[in-house]
Amino acid sequence: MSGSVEWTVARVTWRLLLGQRRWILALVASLLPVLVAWLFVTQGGESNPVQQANFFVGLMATLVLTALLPLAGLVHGTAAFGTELDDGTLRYILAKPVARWRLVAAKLATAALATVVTVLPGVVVAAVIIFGTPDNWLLRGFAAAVLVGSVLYAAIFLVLSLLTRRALLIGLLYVIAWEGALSRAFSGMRSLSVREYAMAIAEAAAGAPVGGPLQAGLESGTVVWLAVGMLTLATAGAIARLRVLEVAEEV
Amino acid sequence: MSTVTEARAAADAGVPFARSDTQERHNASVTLRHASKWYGNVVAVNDITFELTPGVTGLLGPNGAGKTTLLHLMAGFLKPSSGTVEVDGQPSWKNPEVYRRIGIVPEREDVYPFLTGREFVRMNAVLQRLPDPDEATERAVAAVELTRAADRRIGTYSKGMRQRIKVAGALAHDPAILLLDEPFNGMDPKQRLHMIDLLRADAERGRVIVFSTHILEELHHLAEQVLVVVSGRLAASGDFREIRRLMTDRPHTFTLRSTENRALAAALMADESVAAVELTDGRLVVRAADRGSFTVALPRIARRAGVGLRELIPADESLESVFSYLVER
Repeated sequence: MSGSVEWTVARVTWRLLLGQRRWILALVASLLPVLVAWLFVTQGGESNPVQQANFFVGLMATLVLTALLPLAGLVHGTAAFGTELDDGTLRYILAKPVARWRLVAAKLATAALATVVTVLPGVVVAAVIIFGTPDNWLLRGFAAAVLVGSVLYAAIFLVLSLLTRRALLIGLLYVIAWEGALSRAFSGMRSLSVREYAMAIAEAAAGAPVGGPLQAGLESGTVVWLAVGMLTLATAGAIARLRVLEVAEEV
Repeated sequence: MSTVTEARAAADAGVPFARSDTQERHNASVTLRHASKWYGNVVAVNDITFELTPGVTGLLGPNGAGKTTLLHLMAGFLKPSSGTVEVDGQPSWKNPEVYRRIGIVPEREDVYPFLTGREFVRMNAVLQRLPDPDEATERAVAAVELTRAADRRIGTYSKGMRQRIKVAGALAHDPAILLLDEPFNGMDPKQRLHMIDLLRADAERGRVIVFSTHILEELHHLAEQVLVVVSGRLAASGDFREIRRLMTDRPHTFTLRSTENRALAAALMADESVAAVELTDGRLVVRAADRGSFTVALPRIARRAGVGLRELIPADESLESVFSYLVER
């Protein structure tokens, strides 16, 4: 284990996430789009390109961006600090002359990467099954959406884990209620939905034609600013919280 | 010879675990002034004032007395509800820079089970931004005699080994102040002796060492100064021998059975070491002014009275009662 402070913290965090059983659950869940894609092609849907594109967009919008991506972000984002907070090992990291923003940056980058690694392979494999090739404009769009969404969800759930010991439960309610229902039902709430940001990013990165299968509810230009704002807010909140975090008594 | 090998050889040859900043260490101090910590209505630490200077200080008290809270306040893990906690004149709370001077060994056993002992100590060295983390790692691992097991995962370590690797992690940057929470838990007698030797030698070189325990005898070979904490308050402080004397030379209650209880009761009442005697259910309940003189006098009194002793049970010997006595003084 060599390198800088950030690299050392990131490596320990990575091994921490890798060692959790929830990683296996997240990985299994990520196989869902592959399974659905396989069922689609076995039903004969592979012959029509329009049908393929519509199906892939539907699969990404409903299953991946609404459920798998936020859930993976929830698992890894809350575990990045939460696991060490629960077992008390965070003391070994906190009792060092290291600026708190460095710790947050290392943990956030690791949690985001773990989320990408959990979700993206399933998206790529599903696209290959449906389109027969990884060289597809819709795949490029949704890959970008997964990357951006992973960072945002990791940041949101990371700060949540520093604010409450019930981050997993509260995060789950957020995913189901906010991202899954409210932000889709009320257009005014879209500007605060990571799912909607991801859709807009997918549309922009794919270069989707007007009237095509991929239509987002928000302008990509607006989304960039909103996403940057959300990321800044969550990261600054995590740093501020870590600076005044009291390590609980031994139980 | 590589740096790592040199460090190993130096450590194996018994080179002390110290750099050349002994003078700097002599200035090290931990100061609490009217420090309190409460959670809602629960007072964990109540208006405690003391200053720790180089040497070993034992933090003695029953479970739940507030020892861990005190150590956490010193370590900057908790914000004092009132009062101040300073390390070398700097507040420990919200001040990560103090960790250049402090090494911490928490009580909880959990240490990253997937890391090897060497990886864990090296992690500490890197996060301390030491110029040569490899050298520091080898030296610290050797100091706790875990060089052979250093490449094993901590998850496979015994409880005592985990305690030692935690100490190695805390020593990696050769801190001026070492805070240890129940460090001897899980150690076998040999490991204990080694740890005592290590800490004592470090204290002689100017390190401030504070360790908590609820076992009086753990202080015997190590602590020069003792702070007794009961219910969040500082019940007593001072030299170990003085604290020990206070704990032993206090009123004690004994239950006695003899061949002739009435005759023995009369003889006991005439002795100055006995404060009161009560005859009940075929037994004598004796309140002695202090344990030391009563236990010496009892055989002599019984022999003179021609009474045989059948049973002597010291009562009221729980640690909590000993501490309560110190608080009431």
